[in-house]
Amino acid sequence: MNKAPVRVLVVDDEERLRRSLVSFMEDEGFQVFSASSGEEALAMLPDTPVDVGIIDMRLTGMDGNDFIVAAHQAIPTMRFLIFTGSSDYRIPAVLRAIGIDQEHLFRKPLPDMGVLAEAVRREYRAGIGGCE
Amino acid sequence: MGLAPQQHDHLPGSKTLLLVVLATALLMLGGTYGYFRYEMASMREQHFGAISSVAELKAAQIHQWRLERIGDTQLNPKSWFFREALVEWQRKPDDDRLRRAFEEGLKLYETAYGYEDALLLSPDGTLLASSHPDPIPVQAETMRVFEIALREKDSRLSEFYLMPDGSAHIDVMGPVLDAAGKTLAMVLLRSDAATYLYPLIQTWPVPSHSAETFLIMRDGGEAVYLSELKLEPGSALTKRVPLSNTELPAVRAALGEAGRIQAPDYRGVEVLADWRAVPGTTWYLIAKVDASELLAETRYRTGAVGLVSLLCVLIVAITARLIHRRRQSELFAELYSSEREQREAEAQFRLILYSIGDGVITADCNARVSKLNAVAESLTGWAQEEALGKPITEVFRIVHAETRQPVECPVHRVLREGVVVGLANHTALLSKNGPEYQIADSGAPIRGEDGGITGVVLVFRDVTEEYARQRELAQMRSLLQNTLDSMPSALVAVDAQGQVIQHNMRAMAWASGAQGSAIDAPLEQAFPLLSRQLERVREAVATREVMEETKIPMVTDGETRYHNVTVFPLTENGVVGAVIRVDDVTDRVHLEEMMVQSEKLNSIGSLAAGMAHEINNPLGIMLQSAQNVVRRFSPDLEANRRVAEECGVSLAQVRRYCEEREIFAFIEDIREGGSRASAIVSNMLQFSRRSESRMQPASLPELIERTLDLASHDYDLKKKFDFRHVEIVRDYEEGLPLVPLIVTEIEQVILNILKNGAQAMSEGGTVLAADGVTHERPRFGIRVYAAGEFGAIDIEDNGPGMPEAVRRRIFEPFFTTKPVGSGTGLGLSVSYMIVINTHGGLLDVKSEPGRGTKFMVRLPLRRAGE
Repeated sequence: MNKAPVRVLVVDDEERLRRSLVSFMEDEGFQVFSASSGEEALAMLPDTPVDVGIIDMRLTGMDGNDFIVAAHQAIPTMRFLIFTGSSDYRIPAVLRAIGIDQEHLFRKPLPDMGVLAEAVRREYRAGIGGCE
Repeated sequence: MGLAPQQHDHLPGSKTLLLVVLATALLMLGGTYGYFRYEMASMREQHFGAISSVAELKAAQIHQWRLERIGDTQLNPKSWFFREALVEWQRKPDDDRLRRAFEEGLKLYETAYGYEDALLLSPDGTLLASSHPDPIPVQAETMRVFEIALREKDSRLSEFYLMPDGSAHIDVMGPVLDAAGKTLAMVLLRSDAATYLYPLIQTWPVPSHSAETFLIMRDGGEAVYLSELKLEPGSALTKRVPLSNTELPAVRAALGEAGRIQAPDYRGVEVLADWRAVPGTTWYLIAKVDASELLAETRYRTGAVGLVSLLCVLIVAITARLIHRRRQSELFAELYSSEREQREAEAQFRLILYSIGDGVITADCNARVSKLNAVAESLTGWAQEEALGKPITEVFRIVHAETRQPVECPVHRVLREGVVVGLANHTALLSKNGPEYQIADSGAPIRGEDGGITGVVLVFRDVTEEYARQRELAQMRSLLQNTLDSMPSALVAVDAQGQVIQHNMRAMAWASGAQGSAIDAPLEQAFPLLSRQLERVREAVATREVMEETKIPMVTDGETRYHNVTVFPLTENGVVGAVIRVDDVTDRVHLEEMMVQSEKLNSIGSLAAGMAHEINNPLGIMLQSAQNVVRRFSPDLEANRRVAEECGVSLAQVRRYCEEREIFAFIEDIREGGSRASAIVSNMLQFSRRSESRMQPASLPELIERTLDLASHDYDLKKKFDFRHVEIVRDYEEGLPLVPLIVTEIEQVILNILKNGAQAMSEGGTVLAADGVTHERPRFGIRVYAAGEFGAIDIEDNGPGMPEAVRRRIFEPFFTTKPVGSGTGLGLSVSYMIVINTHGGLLDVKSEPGRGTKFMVRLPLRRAGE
C-alpha cells in the first residue's frame, strides 16, 4: 500500500453529493478527482489518468453511459462504477459489452459508502491484474 | 239391464177388456153360426121347393108321356079303316097286299111317333106284321102286360126291360077291337128309353152339374133303378139296392113314401132329394141335387159372413189390443219415458264410448274375452271372432314400458278386488302383429242385478303419441329448468301480485326455507331477502322497463356479499309479472376493488419512478453526509486526530462533547430517517409496472420454508414476536408443479403476510390474556395446493381478525393500524402489487373479528403468453 494511491474519479452534477463522496473517498486514502459533468471529466482525463471512475448517470450534457463509452476509449484500462439515483436505470448493452454488469451498479441513496470504497479497491485490483 | 217384463195381467181393466173381446167373438161366431143355420134351413127349403117342382114337373111330363104313348096305340087301331082292313086280312091271311099295307102302316107309326119298332101281334102273341122285317121278339116282361091289356081290352105300357143288346126299352100296346068289342090284334110300339124318355127324365130345367132325376121301382126286397143315372151310365135296370138301406132316397121312394130328404145317395154324397110316385104307375120319380152344390153358395155366403165376423172379431181384438196398449202406454208413460231416457242415455253412453276411439274389451268372470270393439281389435291385433273365449292375458298382453316386466292385467285385479282400477302409467300393449303401443288402461266390474260381478269391461287407449308429447314436454320443461338452473344468476319469476311463479336452483340460496316449495308463495315469505324488490316489480310491470340496482351489500353469515338485482317485466303472452334476477357480484366487486387498488398503486409507482431520482439524490446527500460526519469524529482516521490537535483540542474531547450533547444520536436519527425515506421510495417504485422478467420456476414449499427461516432471523420481527413460540401447521400438497415467479418478490410477499399476522397475533394474545381466557398459542396454518390454473398459498393466523372496514382497506398504500413509525404502511400493498401486477395472480383476505385472518395467494401455474 505504499505505492501510488488509487486514483478515483467522481463524476456527479450534484455538488453536495459529490463533495460528500469525494470526502469519504479521500478519507479512505484514495487520490480523488472530481468533475460535475462528463465533458469536464473527459477533458481532464488525458492529463490525469485515473484507475476507477464513480459515475452518475443523469448528468447535464452527455450522460453517464456516453461518458463511460468515451472514457473507455480514451483509457481502456479505466474501471467504472455506476452510481445512480434513477430507479429505472438498466445497464445498456454497450456497457455490458465492456464488462460492466450488476456488481458495478450502485443506487443512491447509499446508507454506507463503505460498499462503494470496497468496490473501488476490488476494481483497482482487478484493473491491475487485467493490465499486467 | 233388460227391460221390465210386460205385465198385462196386472193391468187394471185388462181382464174386462179380454172378456169383452171374448164375448164379442162369441157373439159374432154365434151370430154367424145362427145365420148359417137359418140360411141353410131356408136355402134347403128353397131348394127342396125347387127340386119338388122339378120332380112334380117331371112326374107330370112322364105321366103325360105315358098318356101320349097310350094315345098312340089308340089312334089307328080304333079307326074303322084299320079295323076293317084287319078283318079283311084275317079273312085272307095270304094277301100280301094287305100285309104290305099293314107293314107300311106300322112303318108310318114308327116314323111318325118316333118308335123303334111298331109290331102288330095277334092276341095269342103271334107276330102279324112289323115295321121292320124280323123284329126282335117281344120280351117276357112285356108279355105279362100284353096279357093284362088283352084281358082289359085297353092300352098298356110295359115296364122297362132290357133288350138282348142291353139297351133299356119300354113298350106300349093297345088292342084293335072289332065292332063287337072282340080283340082282333094288338098293336105294340117299342121305344128305346134312351131316345126320348130317359133324356126327358134326365133334363133339369136349370144348369146344374149334380142335379139328377131318375125313376125307381120296388121289385121285391129291392129297389131297382129304372132310368139311366146321369152320373152312373149303364145303371138302368141293372142297379139295385136292398130296401133295408133306408137311408138312401131311392129306397125311401121305393118304400112308397112321398117326401124329401137330405141324405147320402147311392154314391155316398150328401144330396137333397125329393121323390114322388108317378101317377098311374108303380114308378117313383126321384129328383136330387148334391147338397154341396146347392149349399155351396150358402156356405160361401156363410163363409163370407164368417170371414166378416172373424174380421170383426179381429178388429175388436185389435181395437181392444190398441185400447189396451194405449191404456198401458198411458199407465206406464212415465215408466216408458224413464226407460227410454235410460236407453237413450245408455245408447249415448255407448256411442260416446265407442266414438272416443278407445279400445274396449269385455271379459267374463273367468277373465275370458267376450267382446272387442274395432279399436281394441286394431290395437291388440286380434279379431273379435278369434279372440272370443281366449284368456284376456293372451289377447291383452301388457308390460311395463321401461322395465319390460309383465304387468298385472287390470281384469284380474277388478275380478279379485271388485273395484274400478284406474290408469296404470307406463304400460305398453304388445300387439299380436308386432307393433307396440303405450296405453292408458282402466278396468271396471260389470255387475249383475244381484250385485255380483259378471264380467269386466276394460277400456284403454293408445297414448303413444300423448306420451311422446308428454315426454317431449317434460324434456322441454326439464331443459328449461336445467337452463334456468345452469344460469349463474338466481332467477325468481313472480306474478303481478308478487306470488312466486318459477325460480331456479340458485334462487334457493335466497329462499327462507320456511315452506316446502317456494312456488305460489308470496315473494316476501319465500324469499324474504328479496321482499324489498316488490316495489321494483310493480314499477317494472307498470313502466315495462327493466329496473336495475347494483352492488347491494348484504351480510350473510358475517360476510358481506354484493349483488346486482335486475327486474325484467313480463308482459308477453298474457303473463303479467316480472323476473327478478340476482347476481352475486362479490367477486367482481372484489376484482374491481383490486383493479382500483392496483391502479392506485400503479399511479403511485409511476409517480415514484418519476421522482425517485429527485428524492434519492437529496437522500444520498443526507445519508452520505451523515456518514461522513460520523466518520470524521472517528479516532480511527489519522487526519481526524491531526486536525483536532491543530485546532487545539483532542479528538477524545470532541467526541466526549458530542456524546454529552447527543450529537451522534441526532446524526443517527438523520441516518435512520433517511434510510426510511429511502425504503419508502424503493417500495413505491415497486408499484410501477415492470415488464422485466426475472421469473423462474420455483417450488412454493421451499420458498415458504426459506421465508419462514428468514422471518425467524428478522431483526424487526424479533423485537416483538419470537417465531420460536409460534406453531406452524404445514399442509403442503405433494406433487405440486413448480410455479414461475420472481423468488425475491414472492418471498417479500410471504414475509409481509407473516409479519402482518405475527403482529396481529401478538396483539390478539394480549387481548385474550386480559380477558382471562386461556392464552391460545399463536399459530400459522400454511396450506399450499394447486387450485385449478393456480398455485395456491393460504396463510391463516389465529389472531384477533379484523373488521370489514379494515379488511377492505388493508391493501391500500399507507393504510396501517400499526403505531406510527412501526412500518412503512406499504408492506401489504407492495405484496398486492407483486402478486397482482407482476405475477398476474390474485391476493385476497378473509377475516372476521375473533376468527383470525386468512390470506390467499394465487399464482398462475403458467405465465400468460406461454
